Amino acid sequence: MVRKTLGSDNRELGVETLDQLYGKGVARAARKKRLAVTSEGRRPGSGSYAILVVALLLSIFPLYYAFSIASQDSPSTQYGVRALIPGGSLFSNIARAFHDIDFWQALGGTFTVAAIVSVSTVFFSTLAGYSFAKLRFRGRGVLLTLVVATMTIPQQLSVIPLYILANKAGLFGSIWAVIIPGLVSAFGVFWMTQYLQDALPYELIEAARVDGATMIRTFWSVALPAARPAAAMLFLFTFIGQWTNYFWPMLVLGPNKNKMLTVAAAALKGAHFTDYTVVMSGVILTTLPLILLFFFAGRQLVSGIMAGAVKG
Amino acid sequence: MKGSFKAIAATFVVLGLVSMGGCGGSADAAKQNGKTVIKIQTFNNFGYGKSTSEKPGANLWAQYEKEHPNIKVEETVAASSDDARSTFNTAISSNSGAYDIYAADIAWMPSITAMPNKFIDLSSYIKNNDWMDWKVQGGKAADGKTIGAGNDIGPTAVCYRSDLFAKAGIPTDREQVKDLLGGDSATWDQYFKVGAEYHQKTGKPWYDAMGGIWGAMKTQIKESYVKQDGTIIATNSTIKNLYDQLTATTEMSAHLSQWSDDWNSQFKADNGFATIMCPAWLLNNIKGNSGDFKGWDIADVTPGGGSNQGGSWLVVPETSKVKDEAAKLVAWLTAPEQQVSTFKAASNFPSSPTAQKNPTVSGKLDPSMNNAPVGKIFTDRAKAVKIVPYTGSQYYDIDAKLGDALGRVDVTKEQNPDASWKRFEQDVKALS
Amino acid sequence: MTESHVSTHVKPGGSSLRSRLGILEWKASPYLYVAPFFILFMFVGLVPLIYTVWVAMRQYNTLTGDAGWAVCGSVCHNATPGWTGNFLWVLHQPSFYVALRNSLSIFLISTIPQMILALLLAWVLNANLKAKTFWRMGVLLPYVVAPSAAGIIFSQIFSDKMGAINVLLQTIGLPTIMWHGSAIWSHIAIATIVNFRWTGYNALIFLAAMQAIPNDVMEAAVVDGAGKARTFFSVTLPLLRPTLIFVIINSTIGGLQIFDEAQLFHNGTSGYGGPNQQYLTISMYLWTLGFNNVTIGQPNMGRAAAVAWFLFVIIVVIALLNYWLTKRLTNGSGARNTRQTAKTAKAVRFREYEQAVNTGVVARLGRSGHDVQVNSDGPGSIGSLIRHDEER
Repeated sequence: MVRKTLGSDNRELGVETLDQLYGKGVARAARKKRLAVTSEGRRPGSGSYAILVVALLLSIFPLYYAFSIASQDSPSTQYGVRALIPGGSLFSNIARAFHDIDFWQALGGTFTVAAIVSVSTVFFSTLAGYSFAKLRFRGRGVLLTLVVATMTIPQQLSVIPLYILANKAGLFGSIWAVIIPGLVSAFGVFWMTQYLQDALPYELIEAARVDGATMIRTFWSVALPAARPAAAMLFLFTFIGQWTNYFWPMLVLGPNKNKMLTVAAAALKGAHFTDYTVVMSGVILTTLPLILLFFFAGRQLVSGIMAGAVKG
Repeated sequence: MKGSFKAIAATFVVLGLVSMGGCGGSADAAKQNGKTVIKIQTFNNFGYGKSTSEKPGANLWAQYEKEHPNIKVEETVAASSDDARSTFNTAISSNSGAYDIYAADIAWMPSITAMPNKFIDLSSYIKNNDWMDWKVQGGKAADGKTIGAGNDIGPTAVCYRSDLFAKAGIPTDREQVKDLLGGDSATWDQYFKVGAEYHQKTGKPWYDAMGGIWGAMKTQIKESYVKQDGTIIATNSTIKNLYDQLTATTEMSAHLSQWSDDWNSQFKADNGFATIMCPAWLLNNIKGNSGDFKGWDIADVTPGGGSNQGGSWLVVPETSKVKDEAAKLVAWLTAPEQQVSTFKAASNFPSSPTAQKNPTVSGKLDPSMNNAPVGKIFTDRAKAVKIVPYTGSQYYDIDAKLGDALGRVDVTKEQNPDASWKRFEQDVKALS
Repeated sequence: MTESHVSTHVKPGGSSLRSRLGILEWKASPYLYVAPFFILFMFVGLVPLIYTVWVAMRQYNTLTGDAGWAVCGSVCHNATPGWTGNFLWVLHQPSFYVALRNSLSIFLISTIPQMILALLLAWVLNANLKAKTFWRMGVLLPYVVAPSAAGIIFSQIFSDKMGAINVLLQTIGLPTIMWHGSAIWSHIAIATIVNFRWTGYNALIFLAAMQAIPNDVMEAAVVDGAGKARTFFSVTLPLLRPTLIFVIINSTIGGLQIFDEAQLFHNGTSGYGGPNQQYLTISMYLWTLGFNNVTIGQPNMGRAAAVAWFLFVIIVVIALLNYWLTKRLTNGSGARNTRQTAKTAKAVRFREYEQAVNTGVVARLGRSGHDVQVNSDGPGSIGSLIRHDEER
């Protein structure tokens, strides 16, 4: 009973899901269809492309508008449609925002938070996910249910106590106050459990054990490599999630707004209430690194979302 | 998916290198290169720092550091006073030594003077400073300790658009405007009467927002929302009458919400508001929002009698590691000479009578206000302040609710004055 | 795959210690692997959660700290301290209900069009397009824009006097819209910011689910003479049910917590949520209550914590409601035999358990072949020994 890995083909997953949800017949039909290499889907008409072009424009417009305001020559609070035509001061405005939010510090802080949280989330999630997916132990069901249940708890529920605790611990204003609450994620554990259940065949574990590998070694040399595609996705999503996080950093960074990009950019709104070119430059400085990431890893993001979807 | 892992990894390496490259890594120690660092939090513009186009300043830090070579001052300017306040609250409650000096708005003082043990007694440092009597009282705790050093005050005049006045055929000379509004015995009735005429002639708004007018009105009552014994009287007839008087002038309002982008954008608009209640520090906003536009002037008059709006104190928390140095800096900043400098640079009006008498202050002309003698005008306005409102207990909570009530009538126009007042009564009841 | 109940018998003697250690390792490892997660989670998740319960019951002020049991005060004519004080106080606040209304309204205005648009986009993307990846990435682009950044950008687009949209409306002679002043329009504006970021993301989720639908099913529908729309509503949509439930529950959790967008949509530096609290969301209410208005003598933290609990309850209730509703609305795929499913699932669980035992313990202990002998269920065998205390 060797199962296909999720990474090799997203649609292959569907068979398993269909099996569970709609019975053998549907699953068999799906499998058969996939064996035959045929052209799939309808032929799209010009209407389809029109819808997509509109969607694309709507995705891009706000970003364009931000760029355009950031490039305006004269300071103002509102530009209306004037800003549809870019001005020539993009770089000088960006330079001002760059200086005001102390860009290197903010970028370094955001990167540190996002990187530490992502690495920690991925590692602990993979470890726990492996255990839940492939090992059997007393209390497994209860613990797994607990993980799923905690996924629905809103962030706001623990904001007040976390705030009080962070202050008591003397972490007010420190990026550690942002990092520590994010170190583990119930969603991560759930995600890795789901993935490893399918992607890691028992045979591989068995082979390693037969070779005399200890449990932790088996994890290290068999589970970890098998988990890599899903781990990369989890890393990516956690990273973006932390990068775009605003509510909690805003509360807990207090005086040190310049330690993270989102908060620093939002603070510009108060500091430059008469000059939106600087505020928008700040917005662009916050977003640009992620857009860069998107150009390199956008394809993976797409497949990550789609893979996660079917797992639900 | 095969190449994905490498692609992602490579992107992160690049991102990481880029962000680490600029990491200078400044340690948050009280000492830096052998210098004692004093950290101060301010908000809006206190005029202490280097001058920029948006935030004029007197460059006081450079001066102080020059006079005290072993001191380094680090100022953090919070985006708004709300922002500054939440940082202040947290830092004080958690005893974190985030800052050595806090600039405190008038609205914070009731809380501060209620916690005298959290702040140091400045009495021995400020012997050479003099502030107006009510400013001194405002910085004192119940036990008589002086924990707040008086910084600026907000004597209020009327600023007006002389270009719009001219178009409407109203006299534009500031002495004539003063007389038009009632001179030294100016009343709100007179102000609204002129406003009604202006509005009829032009169809344009007379004032910016009811909230702005209320800001001056409320400071002209000794006990407005709360009595000194703690009784809440916010829904009594005194407030209600003023509320009725103000909300009857709906058509004269520009229906803006103060401090919003829309409000900012209307300072130089052709159909903008013609007058605005003008505490000294508001000149910074007028300048910032007007840019190259020159049409604003200022009249030496306050409808309803003198009014002090806002103003600030400086406090030093007990948690500061450099209490002594911080207190010395506070004493220096609030001394007459420095108050003169900040008024000259940034229009924050001195609370020190000595500073007010200084020719640099009393003789200051403001080019962005049509060369009005703002020094003299605000000195007169400060003298006209006879009432210091009691702001203890829930004063500011109630005030925020009244602001909301006015907003419902004025800005969103969702309710008529009566319905909005009923809602205000409920809000006040719900507060306690 | 080995289905037989293989178990091992460990010979008494020198190697039994090693065997025991091996079993111990096998039994302890799962716990060791989940332990770091649960220990960390205890500190950053569980402890704060329990602490919220405590704070919500106390007269807790940021500046002065804990001052005993909460007092509701004159709003509920009750000055006796008790654990319900803050909860009752919140329930007596008109603002709380206004915030609840706003959150629900923004949530509905963002979720419903978002789902429809996402389904439409997914349907379009599911066609045999040229440059598939390009289009998919295109709709996902807004996902990398932080909600706070989007809030700032859209606050310019939706400004009342000079915002891009109002200026456009003015130019073509239409009346301008009170984006901030009017409750419903401010909700629409904020919902737009939310939709901007999430529509493409959800479209991709739906797309994946659509691709998992076997072509045969679709073809069968077409053969039966169903039109495109009919096929979509009676075949595609029901098959998307699990995905729909997942997405809707997710956006419930997110939608009711909206903060970043609404805070930065607000123009100005105080009076968040608007003068009539037109766009004061529950999260903003919590924030204002807990962090902005700190009056000595009032339990600002306690009251905010109480609001947090109400928010949690509301989210759970609405998520359940959604689950039920979505199930009803898309219930066209025929009933499933749940007992059969449960039985199958149990069988799978058992099989996997056996596999785990075999591959985990037996493989390693049995690799040298002489000190462990494979044996059918004997007393004291490792398999039965382990099985004995697993899987109830």
